[in-house]
Amino acid sequence: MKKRSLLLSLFLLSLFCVHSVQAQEFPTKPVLLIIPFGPGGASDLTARALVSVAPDHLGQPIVIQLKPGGGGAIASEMVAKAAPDGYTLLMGGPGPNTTLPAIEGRSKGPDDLVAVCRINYAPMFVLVPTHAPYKTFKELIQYAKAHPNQLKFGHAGVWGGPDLCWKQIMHQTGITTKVVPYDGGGEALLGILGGHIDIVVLAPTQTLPHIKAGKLRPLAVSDTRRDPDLPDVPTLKEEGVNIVNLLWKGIMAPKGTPRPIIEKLALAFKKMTEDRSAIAMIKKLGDDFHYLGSEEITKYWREEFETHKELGKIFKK
Amino acid sequence: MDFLTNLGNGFSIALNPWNLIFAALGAVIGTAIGVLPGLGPPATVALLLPLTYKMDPTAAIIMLAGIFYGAMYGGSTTSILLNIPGEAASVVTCLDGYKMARQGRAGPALGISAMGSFIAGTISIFGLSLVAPTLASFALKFGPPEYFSLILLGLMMAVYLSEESIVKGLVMGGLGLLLGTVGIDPVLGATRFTFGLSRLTDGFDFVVVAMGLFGISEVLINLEAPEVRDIFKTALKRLLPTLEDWRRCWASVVRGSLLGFFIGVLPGGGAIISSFVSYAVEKRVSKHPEQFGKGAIEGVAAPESANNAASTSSFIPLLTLGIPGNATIAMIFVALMIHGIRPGPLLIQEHPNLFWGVVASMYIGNLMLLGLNLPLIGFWVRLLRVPYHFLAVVVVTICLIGAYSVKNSAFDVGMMVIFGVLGYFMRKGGFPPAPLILSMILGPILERSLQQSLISSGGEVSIFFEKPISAALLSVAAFLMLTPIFKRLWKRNALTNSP
Repeated sequence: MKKRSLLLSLFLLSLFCVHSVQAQEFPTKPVLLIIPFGPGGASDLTARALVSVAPDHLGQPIVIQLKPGGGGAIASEMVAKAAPDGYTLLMGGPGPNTTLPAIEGRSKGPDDLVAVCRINYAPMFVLVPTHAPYKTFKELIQYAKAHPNQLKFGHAGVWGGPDLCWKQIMHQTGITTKVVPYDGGGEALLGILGGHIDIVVLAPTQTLPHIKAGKLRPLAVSDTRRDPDLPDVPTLKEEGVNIVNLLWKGIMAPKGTPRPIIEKLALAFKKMTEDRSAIAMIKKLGDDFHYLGSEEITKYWREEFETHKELGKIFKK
Repeated sequence: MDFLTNLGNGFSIALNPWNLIFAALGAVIGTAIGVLPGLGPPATVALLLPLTYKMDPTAAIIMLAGIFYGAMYGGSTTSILLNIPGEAASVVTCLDGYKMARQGRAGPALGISAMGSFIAGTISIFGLSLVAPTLASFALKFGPPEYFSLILLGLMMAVYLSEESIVKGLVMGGLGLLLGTVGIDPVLGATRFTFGLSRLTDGFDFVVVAMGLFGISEVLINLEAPEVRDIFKTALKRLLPTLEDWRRCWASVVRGSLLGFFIGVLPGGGAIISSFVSYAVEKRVSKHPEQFGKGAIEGVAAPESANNAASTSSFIPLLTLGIPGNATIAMIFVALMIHGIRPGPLLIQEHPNLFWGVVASMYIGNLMLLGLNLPLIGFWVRLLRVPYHFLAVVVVTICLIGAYSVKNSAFDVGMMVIFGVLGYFMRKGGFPPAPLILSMILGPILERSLQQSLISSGGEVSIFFEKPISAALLSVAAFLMLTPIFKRLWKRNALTNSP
């Protein structure tokens, strides 16, 4: 009996040693980063800018693999099933890793993956045509209250970021509008420019030229702060609705990955996002890095997960 | 003329030696990936994107645009030679193009598709440089009810793709619509017919279905009955269309170009719809409609002209509105962003050199593609002399790689094989695959535009009749459907009254 417990404790000790040695030596081979979307998308381009400087900061290259399908579920399930040794990572985000598991019960979320860090994010703008009678967010809500179920909101994919953001707004303000289905931001943009819908919620990349050309008016932004490019546009919180909804991209690892490895990875990614040549590359894409550490993004992710779960219960009939 | 000075300025930019080299490079790469169905234009442009970081923006866009319209030239090659449509817009080319090849007329088929593409490309570029802004505002007016009516009309015309029985064509069209519903419901987000497989939530991919139904089933049919290969050895000397061919199809080229130019402006299914609508129009106006599906050269000329004209006019929404109409154009959008140019309504005013340089390079690029493709015809035709049991291996390999490369997924390869076997039995029973695949692609757009229209109108069906464009399209559809019935009634009356 004594011998047995000694053996057991020796065994446990050896396991611990292996782990700490692993963490010290990690990584000894290239790391695989799986992108849940197709070539040329924002995730792909962001990842390419980032990993170009990986050998300088991680000591090993990061290899990108594209595994699109199922709205990101295929890649998320693959990574969740992978060995938790830090060599298989996911470029995740709220679409595949918050909304799908919280509302549809598909894909993998914060229960099966751990967040290493956030890489960057984009807020969304509530946009209306410039000639519309309402010129501020509050006027829009008043108008919608006076004309229930008259205004047409065009989403960019059911349960996508814009769709959820608008549903949150409807839920908090008590307004009702028609929700018209559109396939992607480009199609929704065409819809509002053509006068077929009244409201869209979209990320700034595609919409800035139309705002500058005077075709669309931004009424509010879904961030915690005002956008530096459009400092006159108030946040949703300033306009009296308690909503922050960000489209973020983060690095995720399988659940059970040792903490020292997560910390080592997070530090390497932090340095990569501070690397000058990587920053120059991402800025060319009209984007930027917004690093956030493991603990902070884990907290944000969990809160987002609970909010989406609740929204799913309210809006899923 | 403001337009002429602008275009002249554009040519002076496009004729710069570096820009000429990049236009040629784009044309060559485009032709190559068009011929190999595995790697599509969007993935190619994505791979080449990092190379353009250090390039001059105009040169970069000239090259990437060359890849896009070069692929349209190359895409018809496999349709004609091997019955594998490289992209959705060349499904229709298989119908008569492959039949022509089997009759020993692969040369004229490839020739008319290259020359038709050239003429269509030129007409379309001329249209683009002349009326781009006007046409863009037309595309904006095209809302959900208009899309619904256009696609409904298009699907009715898809029945004309059926060689023999209209009923069998309708059955296949219906099956295609059902296959198109697999995936996520656009309004409620519920998964439909996925049987719990997350791989099916995106629906069926065009490449997977097309390669199975056309490529694999063709191999199966040929393996079953080794055909006499003599037909490929006859008349191979004539590589180009004859004067007689031209007399028959010059009007088809012009009609196809115009249809392609106008329908191609519409983001979404523009290029695909124009290819088979132009085929249906040709079959309808032809004096010998019975030859369609059996190797009629008009059946190659019209859709090939249409899809090339459409690929050019699909640049209009990007360059004038900043809206990418398809996946490749979306990549070119990213390329512009990388160079600090945000495509939008102000692009032509803010970057006139880029706009007119790219437009002028399209004229030059089309000329290069013609020069590149005509000499290749002899080579492609000789490829057909390879004994079929060798060629079959090549076809199967191309299909396997193509299906895998869509999403790097072995599941898709399995799906393609299933569709191959399905296609084999369909063809045994005389069921045409083309209506199935076209309605499978257009079905989701039809469903979405129906939902969009009815949600916007609060459930009122009258929205389809109140909008003038939509009402006109529906009237044409009704006319097409009712004329055969009235014809029959009139004939019956004439018969009973005459004796």
